Amino acid sequence: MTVGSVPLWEQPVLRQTAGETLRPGSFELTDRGADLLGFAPGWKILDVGSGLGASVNRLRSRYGVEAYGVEQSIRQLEQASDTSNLVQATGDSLPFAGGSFHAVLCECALSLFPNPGAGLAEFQRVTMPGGFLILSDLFADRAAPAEPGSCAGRAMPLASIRQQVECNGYEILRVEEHTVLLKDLAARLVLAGGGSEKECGCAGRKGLGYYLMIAVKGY
Amino acid sequence: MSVIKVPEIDSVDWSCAACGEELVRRPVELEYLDSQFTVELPVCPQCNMVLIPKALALGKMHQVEQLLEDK
Amino acid sequence: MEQADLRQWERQCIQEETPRCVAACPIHVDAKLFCSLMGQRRWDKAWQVLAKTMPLPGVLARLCDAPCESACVRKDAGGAVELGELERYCAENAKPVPPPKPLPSRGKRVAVVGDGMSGLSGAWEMARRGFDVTLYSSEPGRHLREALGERLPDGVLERELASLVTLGVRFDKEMKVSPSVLDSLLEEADAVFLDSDAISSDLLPAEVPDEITLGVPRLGLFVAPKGEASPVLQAAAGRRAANSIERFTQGVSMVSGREREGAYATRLFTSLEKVESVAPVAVESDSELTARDEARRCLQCECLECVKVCEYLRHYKSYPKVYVRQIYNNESIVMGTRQANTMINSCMLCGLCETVCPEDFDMAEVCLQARRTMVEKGKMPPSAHEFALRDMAFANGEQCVVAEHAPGADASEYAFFPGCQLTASDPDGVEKAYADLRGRIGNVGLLLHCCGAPAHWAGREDLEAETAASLVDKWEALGRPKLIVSCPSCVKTLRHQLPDAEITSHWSLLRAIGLPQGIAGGGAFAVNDPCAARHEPLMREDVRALLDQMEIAVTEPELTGQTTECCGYGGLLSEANPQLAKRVAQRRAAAADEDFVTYCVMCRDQMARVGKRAVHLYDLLFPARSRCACRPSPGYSDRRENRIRLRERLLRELWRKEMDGETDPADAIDVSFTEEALEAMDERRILKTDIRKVLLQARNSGKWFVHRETGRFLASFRPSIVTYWAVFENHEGGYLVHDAWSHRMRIKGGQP
Repeated sequence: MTVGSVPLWEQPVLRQTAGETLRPGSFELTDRGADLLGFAPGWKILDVGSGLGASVNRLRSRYGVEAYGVEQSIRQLEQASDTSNLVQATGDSLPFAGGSFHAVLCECALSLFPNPGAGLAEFQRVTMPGGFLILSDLFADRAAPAEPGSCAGRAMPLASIRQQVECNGYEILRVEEHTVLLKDLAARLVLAGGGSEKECGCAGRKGLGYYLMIAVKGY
Repeated sequence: MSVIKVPEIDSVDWSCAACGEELVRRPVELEYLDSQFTVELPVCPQCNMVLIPKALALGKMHQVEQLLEDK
Repeated sequence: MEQADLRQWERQCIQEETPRCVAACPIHVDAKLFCSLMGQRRWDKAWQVLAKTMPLPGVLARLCDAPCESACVRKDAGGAVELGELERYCAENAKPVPPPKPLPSRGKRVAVVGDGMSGLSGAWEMARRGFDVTLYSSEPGRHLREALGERLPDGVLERELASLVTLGVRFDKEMKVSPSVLDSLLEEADAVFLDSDAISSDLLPAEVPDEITLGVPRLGLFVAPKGEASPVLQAAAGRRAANSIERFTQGVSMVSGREREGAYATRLFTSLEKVESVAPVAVESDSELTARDEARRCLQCECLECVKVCEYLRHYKSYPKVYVRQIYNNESIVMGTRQANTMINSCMLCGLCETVCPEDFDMAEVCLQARRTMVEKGKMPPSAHEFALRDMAFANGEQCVVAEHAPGADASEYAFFPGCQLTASDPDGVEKAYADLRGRIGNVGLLLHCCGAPAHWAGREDLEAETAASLVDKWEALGRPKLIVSCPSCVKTLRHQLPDAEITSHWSLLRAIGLPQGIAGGGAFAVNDPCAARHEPLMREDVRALLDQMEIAVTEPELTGQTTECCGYGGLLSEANPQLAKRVAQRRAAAADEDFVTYCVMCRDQMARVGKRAVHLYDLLFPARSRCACRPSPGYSDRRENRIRLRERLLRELWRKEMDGETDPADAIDVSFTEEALEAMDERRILKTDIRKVLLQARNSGKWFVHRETGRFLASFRPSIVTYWAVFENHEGGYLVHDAWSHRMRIKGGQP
């Protein structure tokens, strides 16, 4: 979903509507993942696709964890209020030693990877044995024609996502559906948007959902 | 089983009409639910008829029954 | 009951929920206890309640802005209790207490920067928990003194600062904390807490602190919210920071279980129904009585709505949340006594608690299920319900049951179902009612049978089903007539036992077809709705319409209609716990000055047993000299007699059927009873037939005891599971019985 060459997630309307986080649900799913896993001070957490750094700040302020963020877009990093815990890099080439983190978090970003499998392999590499993966993103009930660069166009069926995660050294602990958050964001985008932005195609398309997945890396 | 003596039983006023005998204290086996007791009670020495006085029936016996029932 | 069920029930009873003042206080001072002690003029004890929770109590109690007042329930009954004034009075007049003894040092260091209320409170809380606290301020207390000093008498702040030193807080007055100093503090200490309003703003991070933890992205740094004006909220911020720092340094979750750390909404409900509005008393610092009187306006909030209206719940001196746990524990006991059996069997299953409870706690559901479980596991005390179940079996036996079409008819459109207690207590009324129905409706059959309510109440699903089978059988044999039912309990029970039957109450029918001839109208009564009519608004309305047609002036007791009280018979209370049942009946009897009119004969009889004048609707619809408001409740033996005689009479007179009299030889014995004997027998649930059996046995065996002084005889007999004894003498060819008793314990190998 684009207008001109600026992806939706970099447009002001999304920032304004979704809050500082650029995805459905704001911090709801971040908190849910953190609560389910019992994040505690001393944990090291990596947020891949950290955008403006809101989740990183949230995890530090609320959960007291040592959270760091990796963001590919320089434009986003420039807009972040505080970059002391953020690093510019792509998700499939993480500038960290193996086994550095207790958990890797990737919210509403994996579907934008040109090669999600390579991304998952990197996540797994930098995670400690017995550490976790928290994924939240779109999924599709049927294969969608890819609209280059859009979130919705890249959505995969849940079964393929599961397979990819498992193929990269993870055991899936839990999958939850949170599609209602998606519809809520789409509705707010419709209301907030003026005439010039095209409506977000997400919730309007049938068979599109939003998931939260928690997986553990084997020992 | 040891024989329980119940002090307040006063039954000296009753005697066995059929045998014309005074009653004597003898061990009697009583049972309720899954419990058994041997209690010394007034008995006719000849025909073995047992007397359960009102005070005992309405007093301690009733208490024991309720206790065994967990009432 | 499963553990999950227990938790659900416990949650539903809100008696232990926090009072609103305590919940609304940001630091949860026990304001209710405080008021109780102040109301007793125990100023020192009251002060200890405050000092236990408050940091810098001498200061905070004087500055406290009391957000609890806006939550106070009393605000709708004259005005909120002036807790702020009471705190100040207490601070002025109570003996000061030393600060609490701090925990041993944990070897963790915390730096606090800023000496406002937040900073000082945070330092206090953390020192108390064994942290090594250094408070950075050039002149400790200056900020507080500047902000609110005029409200603090001389020396008060100094004393609390000294307390901080006693707690182990180190004051650093030299170090000027700049951003770079802050950086090194964060390196050296385990955590740093900033009192935002008492420091220069260049020390503050860009982000607003997290609302739960007061944390910011810079780990180890905690920041009080800026611009908080309320002293108690400032203190709460200090405590919140201490909680966060404790979790942070221990490496445990920063968020779990913190939902009730600040102010929250409580589920506790306190009724204002009988509370008189009383305006606040102005508290004067030199007047003890003003403080005492103001504190006494505190309602000491609690719920207890159900306990207020139920003698049974009151009797066990606690409340449903406690009871349900006792019942749960009772079920779990494998060895040892089960103390709660009587309590379980004493609930009247009447539904009043569920109706008045703000959360619909239903003691009936808990107790009925518990009874069923006891029966299932063989743990139900036999003597609890045995007599009532024997009576039910008798009412369903061949000596009592009638299932006939109307005389001369071979089909029944309707059948009259008066219920087994009406036939036992008022056979004459039943006869007249039946005649009236036949006269005005036509093909009305007669079905005399117990509906099975006693089995239901006793938790005996097997006997319930047995009764249902018998009922279905007879109802179908009569051609599935519409049932005209007099007793509200029967109405309720028959809906389950005969789900396919069309059931009308006799009262609704009479409203539809009009009153019979020859009624006794006029007069003034209080109406007593039986507890089975609680959820039958139409039936209750029909009864009142009938009373109105009879020109009866009706008063409603306070607890009536949906909130009516049980008479003590419900749930078989009068069988399982006669003493409590009597008190229940007495309580109901006192609910009105007027005579009662009711439409369940057991209610009427229960009232009569405690000396309350009461009539059943039949007494007014089919009046007779013998059936007045003061007639006593028939004894157990008479109840049986009544049923037997009614059946015999009806079969003979209406259906011309002769009894093939196989008389029980025991019935042939001529026996009379003294007043004392009859009273004793009723109290001990001994029937005349039981004594007849004893006498027959004595006569046949020739064995009995003789009393040396009175010459009276004493004999016994055990027909089945109870042994009966009778004291008697020969009298005019028969016997005269003076006394009787019984026991269940059996003599092994003894006499029959």
